[in-house]
Amino acid sequence: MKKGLLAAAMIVAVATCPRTVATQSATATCSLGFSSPLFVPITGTLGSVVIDDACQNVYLTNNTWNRVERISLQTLTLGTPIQVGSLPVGLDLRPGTNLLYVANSGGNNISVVDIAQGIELRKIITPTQDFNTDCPFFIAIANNGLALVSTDSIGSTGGSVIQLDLNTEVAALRPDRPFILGFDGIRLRAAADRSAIAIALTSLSPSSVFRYSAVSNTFGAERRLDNSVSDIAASRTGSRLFPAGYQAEVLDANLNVLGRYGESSEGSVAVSPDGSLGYRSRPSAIDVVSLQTFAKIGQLAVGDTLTWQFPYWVGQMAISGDGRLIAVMTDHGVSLVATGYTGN
Amino acid sequence: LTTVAESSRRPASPLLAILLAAIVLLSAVRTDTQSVRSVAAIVCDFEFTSPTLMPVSGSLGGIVIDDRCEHAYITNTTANRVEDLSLKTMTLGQPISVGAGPKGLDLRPGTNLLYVANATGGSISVVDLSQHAEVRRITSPPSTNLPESPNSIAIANNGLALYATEIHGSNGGALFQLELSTEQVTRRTEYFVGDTTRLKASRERNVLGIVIGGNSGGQVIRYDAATATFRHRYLGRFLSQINLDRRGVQLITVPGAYALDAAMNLAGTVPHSNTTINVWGGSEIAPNGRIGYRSLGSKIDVMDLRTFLKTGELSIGDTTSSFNGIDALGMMDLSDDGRVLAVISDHGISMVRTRSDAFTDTLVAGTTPIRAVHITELRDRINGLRTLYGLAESAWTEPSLTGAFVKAVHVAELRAALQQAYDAASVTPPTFTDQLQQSATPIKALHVKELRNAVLALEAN
Repeated sequence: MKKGLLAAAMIVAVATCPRTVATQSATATCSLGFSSPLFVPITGTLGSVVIDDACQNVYLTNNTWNRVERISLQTLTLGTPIQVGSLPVGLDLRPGTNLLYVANSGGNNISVVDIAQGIELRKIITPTQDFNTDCPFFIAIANNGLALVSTDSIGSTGGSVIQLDLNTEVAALRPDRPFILGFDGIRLRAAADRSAIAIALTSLSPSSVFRYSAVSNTFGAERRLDNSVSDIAASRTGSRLFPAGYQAEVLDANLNVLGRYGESSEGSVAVSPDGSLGYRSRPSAIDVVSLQTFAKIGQLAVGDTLTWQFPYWVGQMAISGDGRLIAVMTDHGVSLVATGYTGN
Repeated sequence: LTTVAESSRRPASPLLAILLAAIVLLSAVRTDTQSVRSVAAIVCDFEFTSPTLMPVSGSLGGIVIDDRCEHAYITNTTANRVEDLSLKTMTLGQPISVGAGPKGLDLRPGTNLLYVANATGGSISVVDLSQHAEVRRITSPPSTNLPESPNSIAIANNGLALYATEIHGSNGGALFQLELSTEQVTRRTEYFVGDTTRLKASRERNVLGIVIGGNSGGQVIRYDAATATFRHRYLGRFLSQINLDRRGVQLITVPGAYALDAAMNLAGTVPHSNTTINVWGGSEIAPNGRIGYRSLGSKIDVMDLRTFLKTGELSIGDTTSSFNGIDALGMMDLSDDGRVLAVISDHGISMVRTRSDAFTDTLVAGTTPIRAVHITELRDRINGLRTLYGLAESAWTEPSLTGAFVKAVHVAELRAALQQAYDAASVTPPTFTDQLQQSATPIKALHVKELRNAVLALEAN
């Protein structure tokens, strides 16, 4: 897509989408001192990616080497990796701290990493059900002192969602989860302001999604989608959810379906902070989708290939707080992509 | 001012006397507790080229290396006997006839007794190794109306052994308890077991590990000898062997290499990087729980159990290609010092050194001159142990020994520094030959060899 058309589409999108929260705190602006896309090769299978709120570093789990990779956005170089637990997948940063939490899928534990020191401080044991071995896969941190962690049960299709109290570091099954146990592959994604967590039961076909509210510490009602989805993302306040798989549906905060984006593809997703744009990874690019018109309005090159195959982590992306930068996991590393987004 | 002398002349009040007595008593108790020390492993100091294949005819069912690292005992299932491999001479001795179809076996510490599970004979053979003969058979009672035989056994330090049976013609079995002093057998009904269930004791025999065979649930059980209780966990896949470290703190199972802690939490997983070759077979774990081993075709994977990464491979000099998930190919036992693996392979037993921790020169008394390098490498290893046990590195007389003569003081300070590491590890320290007198005692190969063995023994702790 031509740059002019993309810019125009984004201007329209931003103009028609008012700011969701007028009093939200200022977001750090990413200084993109590189020619987009910038591909950074990394050896090993990557599990998940996050960008810190200050837009200083990108963190990725390296599932092959049991470590967290760190890319400095100032120097655009890979730093010394941080050794964590076994087979790390999901990770999330705790705002206002130097702490990074890593879901170790090769054990029933979560690594607590001090990113200032660049070391794993400790591991938190997570509970298992009925002597099965449930291992953490994805983690999302809310702004109420809690994190939600999805687990998969080794050797079976079981799985669950547990709650981690970040202050006491006690992890426990959520007895009020609105979905039955036994689903593996539960994806979790926190909104940037951490007021909500989007939840997708990806192994269910068609998939179901839920929205967790941090302020009430409750799960909302289930929304059964038309298709199975492979990932879910949320806008800054969680007012827009964008679950995607063969088809992508756009949901509001009450999980009402606002529209559908029907171009068939598997992949992962991200949402601009204001919820006006969705991003969807494709085999060698990222589609830019208007979440108002539900139409593809552009495409971003990633500088590498994105092969959607087991364990379906390639293509996952993180978007910076200001929406200007996407870090997407590719077949051979990670690509840093400038979105061109200029909204809030 | 009250001087100390004045204070000491004052008669103590009864209350104070009671308090002082209590403190003295508590101090005594504390001292007793602190004085509990474990015994360092006996070092396998026999020489062989690794790997060495010892050809053995027949289908082999199980293998153990004795605590003194003098013999490996292997059940020969097709020949109904126990093979006796001398590790000193690396030769097979006269085999010991036992019951029919022997598979699992275990040694009873502090005795000369070896217990053998006769997997088609319905019994357990008691072998007196000093007589080199089976002395009796303990009949295993059936748990059903079908024929049933023991196939795996592990001996705990509470006077009990646990063994698993296989019911012929089915994939079921049962778990039994053998009272070693009375030889009474009792069925343990806590668990249903499959026909390929395997048991293994920790080196201190305070914990037994059990994997329930023939079951995709992957049930792993930890038996605590002190409380005679079980704890379990499901790993959701077929498993073929289980191993524990010296104190039963770390436990691993294969295939997959799952590492569990004492509370049966899954600490980590080391996935197979190549699943196109046989991933079934055996495993082992270093006495200190830091390194794991698993058989993989003609090699053994070496795994770091702190990072849960594969760190290397050891060749076994043979193959384990015909393993079918039921027989014992790839099963292995690790010597008490963690330095020698004995692996059941397609054509016999492969003897494998686990690490290249060899010191410079094989020291021969009266032949090998003692050189500076013999001292400096001991310094490095001893400081490594001191760091491991929370001590500062030792400072040495003449830090650089280049061009220097080896003196008694060099050996004496190595002994002292190592003694402190043993104390820090709460392990009974070794005794050394000769009180070294400054410039009066010539340094002999024996002095250096003793230090080497003491280092290796503590490294294996």
